[in-house]
Amino acid sequence: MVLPSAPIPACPACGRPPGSTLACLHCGRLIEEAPGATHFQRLGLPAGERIDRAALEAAYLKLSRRLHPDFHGGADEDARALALRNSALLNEAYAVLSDDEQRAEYLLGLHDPQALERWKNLPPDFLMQAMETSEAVEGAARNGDRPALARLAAGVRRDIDERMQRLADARSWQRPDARALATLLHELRVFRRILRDAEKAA
Amino acid sequence: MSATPAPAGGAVIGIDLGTTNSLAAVMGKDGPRVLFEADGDPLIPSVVSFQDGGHVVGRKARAMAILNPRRTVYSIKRLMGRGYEEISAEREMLPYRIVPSDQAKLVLVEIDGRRYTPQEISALILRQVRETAERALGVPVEKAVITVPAYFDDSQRQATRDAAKIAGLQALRIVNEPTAAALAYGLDTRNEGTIVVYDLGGGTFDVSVLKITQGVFKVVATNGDTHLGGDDFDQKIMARILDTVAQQTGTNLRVHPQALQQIRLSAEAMKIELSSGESSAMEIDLGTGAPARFRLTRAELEAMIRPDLERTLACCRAALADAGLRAADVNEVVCVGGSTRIPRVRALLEQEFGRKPHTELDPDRVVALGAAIQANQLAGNDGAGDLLLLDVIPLSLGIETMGGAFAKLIMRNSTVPAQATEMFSTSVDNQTGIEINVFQGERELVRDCRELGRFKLRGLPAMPAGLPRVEVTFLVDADGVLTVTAREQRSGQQASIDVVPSHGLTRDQVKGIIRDSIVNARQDFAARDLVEARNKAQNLVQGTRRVLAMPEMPFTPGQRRELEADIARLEQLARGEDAAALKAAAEDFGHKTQALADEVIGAAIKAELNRPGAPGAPAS
Repeated sequence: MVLPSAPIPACPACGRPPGSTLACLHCGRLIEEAPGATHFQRLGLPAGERIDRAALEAAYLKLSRRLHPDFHGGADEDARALALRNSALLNEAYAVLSDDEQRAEYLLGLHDPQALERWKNLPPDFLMQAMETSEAVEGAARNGDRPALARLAAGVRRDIDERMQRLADARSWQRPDARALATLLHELRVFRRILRDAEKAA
Repeated sequence: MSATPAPAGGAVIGIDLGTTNSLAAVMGKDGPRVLFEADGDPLIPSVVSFQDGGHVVGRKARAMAILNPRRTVYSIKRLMGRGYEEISAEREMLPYRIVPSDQAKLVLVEIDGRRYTPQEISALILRQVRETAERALGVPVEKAVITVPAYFDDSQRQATRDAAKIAGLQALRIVNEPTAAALAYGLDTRNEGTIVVYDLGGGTFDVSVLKITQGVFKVVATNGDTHLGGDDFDQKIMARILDTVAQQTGTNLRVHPQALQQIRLSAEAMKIELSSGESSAMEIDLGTGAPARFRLTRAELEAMIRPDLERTLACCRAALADAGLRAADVNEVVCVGGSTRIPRVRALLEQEFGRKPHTELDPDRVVALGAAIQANQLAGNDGAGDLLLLDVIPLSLGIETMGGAFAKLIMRNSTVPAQATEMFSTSVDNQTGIEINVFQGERELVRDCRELGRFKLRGLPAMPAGLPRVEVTFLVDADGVLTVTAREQRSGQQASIDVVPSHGLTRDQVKGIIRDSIVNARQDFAARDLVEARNKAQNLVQGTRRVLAMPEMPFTPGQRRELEADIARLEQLARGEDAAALKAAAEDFGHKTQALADEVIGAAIKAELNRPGAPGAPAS
């Protein structure tokens, strides 16, 4: 998948490639980010559908130690504000990249910002199935039928797992079919809502 | 008095500001230690009692609860950052007068016609904790890390920060109690892995799930109930006692505040006794014939509090589910808070997690110890490692949208600092302001969530409706406190924002309280001044005594007598309260001893030089 990847500007303090848009990993300088930086660039990781978990964790911890406001308590107000903003951006980037579903949605957004909006009409057979499951959950909740709720929840979890597999399948990202990916993500949202209702009622 | 050297700018301490008790701790050479006066108990009851235009805090105040129930304020933490309509349960339970503010959203405590915000009462407790720490350390304290329940929302955290400000303390960080406790345990054991901190205190329950790797304490999920704790158990015992008295004697003690206070203390004592004994009994003498008798067994107590304990376990399960973990994934369980002394609590935890919970550290002190570790870290003191705390926001934060729906912008258990941006526009031509209502909670409709405040954007450039693009940034800092900023993108203009907290104080109100308490501030200053003067005097006295004790010092008997008299005078002044007199006397004494030292040392040198055979001795 082709992604926009403007190079990260050199560190304003030491002139070397900083390794992150948030702070220079060489000299420690906090960087005021230019618009358009991606979550991948914030963590200094290659953009892609597969993520190296160990590299993600290591980059997150290293950058947290550079950015966290606790390490900038003695700095002036501007520097403290920058540490706070950049920490928040780092935490957001990490949260998105470490979650398979959020990462897929984010990547799709980078590829085609309108995709989710454009492809939000879901296939009728899916909608039919979802509606039936949803009604079954409502019915079981009304009757306080816990075994039925547990059964329904397990079924929805299987549906979610199956779609997560398809999402993770790298082939779908080789030449991304924005419509197929957007549909998968929408379907996952629907299933997660049903699962939440089933779990809440149980 | 301790010999810990004073860091520049005073000591930085950790404070556990509890519902029932508060205490301070500081990082020493051998790790964190709690601070208390030689004769004292480190736990300072979080109680303020007003009398004769003044007030007392701590144990003295607690003792007044029975004699003076309407003027004695306890459990103020339960009122922090809350609205009048939200605290009906507390209003029934607390014997002092609680009134709504003019806006009806704030809670005020009224004593003898004067009204206090919960922030002010908490500030009085903080001030007492600080003074105790200053006396124990012998140095001024201006900065602190203060702990709050993990499940405190934005208003409650903000209220705590305001209380610190009113007390003249700079709160370097508001740290979550379970996280602080994990820190205290983590340093000892160098744990790596997943730990669950179960914190059942006097008024609140928290559970946090943390992952520890390479000195990073990352909270992955937290849950809790800010209205569940040992106080509730006391209440249940109390109700049982009152029913028994009514049954046996026909007397309704519920209408006698003094008796209620007495029975509240007795109920608490029984609860504590039942943690070691199997049964506890009491007699209530009403002075009208035979006393009423009440007996409670441990099994009965356990049955009474079982629903509460079940609720805490439900919170534990919810936190684990949020963290995507099962009980079997947990490596350690840590007990915090006085209520975890109840054997049934420990047994339930062992059953739930399949392992014995850690109870090595005193559950009443562990939070303050952890706060001291974090305080040391933030002060950048020597020996501060590269410890890092990554905490989370306990409740989702969002805004009101069409039809009263709640749109979540920052999800619960997001690591803080956290931010979200949202675009807004106008609905009327030339509209220059937008109002944003911010809420915190997990429900679908704002009416079921907690209203944090109204943010009024002003100064938007006049444009046709729908044209302005206002980017609003919601930023939650490392204390879990929200700030909102806005920028109109077409003009690049920063919009100014007026914040109207729903259950808190505006900046101006906090300033006003601080200004009004200027008298207190002066007293504060005087108190610290006195501490410093006492310290200086003591050093002088000790130094002089040391010199007097040296056999080689050629003092004349007259000189010795005079020095002893001066020392006695200085010590007497140090026991008094007059800082100015003490300072002046110490200064005089310093000059005198300096002159004397020169003279004595001169004499000693002369004697040494005159010793026969000494090098350079004049030839006889």
